[in-house]
Amino acid sequence: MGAETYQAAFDVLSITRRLEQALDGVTRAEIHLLAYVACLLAMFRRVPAAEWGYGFIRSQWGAPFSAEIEGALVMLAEGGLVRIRRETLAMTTAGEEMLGFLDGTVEHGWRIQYLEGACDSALAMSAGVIRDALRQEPGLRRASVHHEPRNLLGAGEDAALYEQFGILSSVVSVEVSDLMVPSVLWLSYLKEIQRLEIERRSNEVGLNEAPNQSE
Amino acid sequence: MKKEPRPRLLFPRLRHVDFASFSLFGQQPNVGLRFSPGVTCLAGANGIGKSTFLASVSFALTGRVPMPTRSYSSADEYYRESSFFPAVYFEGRINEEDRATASISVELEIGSHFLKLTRGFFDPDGLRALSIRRSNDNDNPVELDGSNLSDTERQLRYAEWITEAVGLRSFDQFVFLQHFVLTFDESRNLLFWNGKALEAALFIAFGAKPEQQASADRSRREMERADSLGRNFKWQSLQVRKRIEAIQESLGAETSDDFAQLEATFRALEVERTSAIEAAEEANSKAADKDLALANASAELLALRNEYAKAFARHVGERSVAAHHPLVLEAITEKHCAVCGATGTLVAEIVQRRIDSHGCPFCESPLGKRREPAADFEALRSLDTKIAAARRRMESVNAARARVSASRDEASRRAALATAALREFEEKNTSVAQRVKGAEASAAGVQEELARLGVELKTLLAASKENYQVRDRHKASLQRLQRDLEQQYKAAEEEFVPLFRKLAERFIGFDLDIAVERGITSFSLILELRSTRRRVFHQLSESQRFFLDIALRMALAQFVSGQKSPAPIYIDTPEGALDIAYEARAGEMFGQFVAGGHDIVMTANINTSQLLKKLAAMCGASRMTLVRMTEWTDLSEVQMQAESLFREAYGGIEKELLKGGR
Repeated sequence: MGAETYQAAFDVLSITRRLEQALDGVTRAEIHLLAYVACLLAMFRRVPAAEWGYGFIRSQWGAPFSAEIEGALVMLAEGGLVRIRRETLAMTTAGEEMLGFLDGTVEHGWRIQYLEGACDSALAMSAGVIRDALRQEPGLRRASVHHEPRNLLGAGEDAALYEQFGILSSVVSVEVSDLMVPSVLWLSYLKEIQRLEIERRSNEVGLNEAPNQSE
Repeated sequence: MKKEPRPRLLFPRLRHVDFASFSLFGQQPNVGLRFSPGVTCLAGANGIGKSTFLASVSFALTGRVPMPTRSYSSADEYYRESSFFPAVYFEGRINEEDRATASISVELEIGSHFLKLTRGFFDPDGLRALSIRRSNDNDNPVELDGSNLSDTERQLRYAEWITEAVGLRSFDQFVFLQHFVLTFDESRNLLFWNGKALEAALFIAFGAKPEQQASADRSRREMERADSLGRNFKWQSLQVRKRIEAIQESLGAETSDDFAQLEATFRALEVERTSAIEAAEEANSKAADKDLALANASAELLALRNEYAKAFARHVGERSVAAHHPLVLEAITEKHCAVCGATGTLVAEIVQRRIDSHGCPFCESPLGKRREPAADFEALRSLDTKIAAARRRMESVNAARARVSASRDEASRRAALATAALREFEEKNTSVAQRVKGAEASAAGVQEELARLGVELKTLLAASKENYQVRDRHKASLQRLQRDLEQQYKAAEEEFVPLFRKLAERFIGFDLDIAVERGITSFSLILELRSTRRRVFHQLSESQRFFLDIALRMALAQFVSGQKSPAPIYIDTPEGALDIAYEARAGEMFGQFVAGGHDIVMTANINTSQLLKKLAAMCGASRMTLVRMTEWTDLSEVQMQAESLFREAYGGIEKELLKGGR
């Protein structure tokens, strides 16, 4: 176990507790998704992706996916810090106790604002909407054209993302205290791109089909 | 000759020193120290910052740090050319994040005045605060309040005020006295064997007015400048004469370019290129050091994170006991046995009871008791603190690395430009030579060139002669000043020589004398040991040289400060070179100086040396303060293992202090 796993373990505990209280549990897939959103929010605040502690990939089995998050989930479940039942996670007393301690450390404490921002977005928009919107996130979108697994947010992969963040920060300050605001704004923007994309495609289909219909 | 009254100088007496954010003193970066009259001895282990302390005090007083390789040409030149050194000196001693806030404040007593100043370590020509009162009573009106002035204005006002208060002509004289006479630092720059500096010190000590020293500096500088110019013109005229002879021999060669001028340009370009390349190499080496420091800091952080990860895993793994087994949890929370399929409260109760009695719910084997999480959390908390500190260190090194990298880039650019300029010159010069060859074909051109060179030769010879005359005028003026100084010294010899002999003989243990030595343009003092003039460096042992030099400084300081005002001497770890026989004698010499009402601010290695014990016995607690500097910073592992020896050594000196001075 290295720094990657203990940061991932902290994120799992943190997301689980936040969403368990508000949404009656959180699924494994939502943990991966929200950890990814939290990492993006840190990047919005100019924290390099490499400092997040662990990475994400897009594979044919789903995206975003983090091997470290998955490892942490297993470790925490075996250690009795979380319970996984029918893919839904719940905190145990031991998990609460551990998280209570970790929240006060320097090593983990700096991540709380990003995890909070991501979880608050999930409360505002639902995980499904977030997942849809993130399909338009530049890294995931680029990775989706490949069959082979691709690293997300790696070196050289984030220029387009920072371009979007640049536009976003002209509307909402990077220093804004509640990261839910830029998060929801940005996800809504991605969602809008997706809507326009669908519209464009359906128009194209309509145009292509028109001559056939006339025939 | 009419005997002029000799000047008496009023030296500032150190009353208080306060450091702010001074990273080197890791345990006490904001350490403050009050100075009482007599000896203040900062004793500590090696590498603890003793020399840095004295250098910092010098810096506070003068805005300069004594340069280890300092040479003396004139006071104003030394002051000007040493302005870059404080930044170099403090660079490695102050962490990157403390650069803006690190400062030193001193409180000085000068006659009936008290002066307080604060100086940032990276701003040698500015003061952050300055105030001057007539006495130390805070109710007294402030005579000078620098709060409305800029940093530079404060420094200018301070320089003016202290120059006048001490009784000197210029601030650079004050800096000279502080660095070359009153401070005997780790560079062991000896006054006896530094002719020009000793002469300047003698001018200040024995000259009729402080102006005399400045005039002598000026005369010497002008004399040396004119001599150098005279020689240059002479050399150039030699080149022109050779050229004329060559042309006459080869029936004429002509050039429209001034060879000497071209050569001078070429030399200047070469000097710039060499200097730029040296600067680039130094910058490269500094950058490599920072890279290494960064790699080291990263490795430290990685190691700590690995430890944290292990502690984290240990805690989580520790919890992988029966009570948290998924099947057990299901039985307790869902009231469902995953093995046999039974359901109901009884299932939960049985499983819980077996867990509570430390037995496996399935096979009833005994289970070990779980460790309390508090212990794991304590270990994680301690590592978290270390990780946070290591991270700050890494950020600090990273910032320093960025700054050093920028300097390296700048130095590389300068080296590239200098190399290109030299190459360009060489190429152009070749074409000049070709044009010259073409012109050689013309006989008329030859005659014209010979005439021009003739005029040039005449001009150069005249310029050389003129400069030699200027040199001789300044030489005469310097010699006049030195003659006056000799007279003034001789008039004061009766008072000064006994002061020196008393101190020096106390140390060396036999009769010795001091005499004047006049050269053509030099005035110096020379030691006579057992009727042998020992001017030659290696004829004295190292410890003899050091302590006789300290005796000379003490005698000069005593002499110029007179009977009424105290003279301070700053001495850095003097005991290093002493053999056992001389340790106690050196202590006695220092004690005698203090007994005259003067101050010593010194540092010393804490060991069993007799020097400090003897000094403590002579001064007693009323006239000597021992500062335990080992409490200011972190000791090395070896030093920590020997802490009891340090305590024992401190104790020995403190014992002497208590019973001494009676």
